Amino acid sequence: MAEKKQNWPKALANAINLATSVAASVALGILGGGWLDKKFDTHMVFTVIGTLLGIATAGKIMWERLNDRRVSSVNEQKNEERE
Amino acid sequence: MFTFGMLDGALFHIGPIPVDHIIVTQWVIIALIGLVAFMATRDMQMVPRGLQNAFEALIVWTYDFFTQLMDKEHIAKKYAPLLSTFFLFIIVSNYSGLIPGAGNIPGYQPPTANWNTTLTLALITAITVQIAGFSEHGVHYLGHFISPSPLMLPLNLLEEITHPLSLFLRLFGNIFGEEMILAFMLYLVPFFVPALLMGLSVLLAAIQAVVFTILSASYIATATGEGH
Repeated sequence: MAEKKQNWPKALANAINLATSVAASVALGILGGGWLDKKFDTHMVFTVIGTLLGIATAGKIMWERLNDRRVSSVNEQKNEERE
Repeated sequence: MFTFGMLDGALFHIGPIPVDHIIVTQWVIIALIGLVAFMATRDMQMVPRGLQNAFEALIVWTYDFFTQLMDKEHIAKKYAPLLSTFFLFIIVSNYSGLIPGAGNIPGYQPPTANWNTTLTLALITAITVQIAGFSEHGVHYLGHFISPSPLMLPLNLLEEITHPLSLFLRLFGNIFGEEMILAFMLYLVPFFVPALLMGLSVLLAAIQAVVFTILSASYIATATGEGH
């Protein structure tokens, strides 16, 4: 069986990217919402919206990375079959 | 003393612009990197030797690394000089705090322990990502903001802002935190313990430079990728 060649720079980039983007998007949503609440004197409205937006963005990022990985592994399999 | 990014007194002025020790440190770092690059390339030979040989090997490795990371060779070749410059500047800046005697200079801190520097680097990346996206896809690049549906616009915008913000805060937080811990340790336990922490700092400084460079490359690769 042919040894599967890993694209380690891409795997490393994806891992770091996923970890930081997920955390940063949630943090940005919460902090941005809190800042808007203070600015417009609205009680928690923007914090809740920001938190939900942040969580949704984190979910979207994770979903996209998962799909990227699925597509690249399918492509790798196709290439292996061709070889 | 840490100024947390505020000017604590200019060393001198260039016209109306105050120049403090952080800017001077950055000039020294740029001059140092430039000098090494000049020495490596001043007498180029067809069969490389010495410093030229080492640099050529490094450049070939760098191109190969970024090509694997970014999938497209022409994109990797186009942006490898910028990304390599990021890496060199950040790693030398991070290490500048570990130079023996640096702590005795009043007000001295590594440029990357100041948020102005890391924010500037992150903004350069953010602008480069947009330029890379437009130069690769033209006006169609704008379509990714409403992909897969216009309802995703807020999420896509938030994601776009998240990238430079995470780059800026991670580098600043890590290097600033490391410098603070070192300063406290030197004050509390002047012998032995700070040496261990400095050993850890050598590793941390290199990791942060690698992480910043890889993430910048990853963002450019995403902007120029097939998905857009």
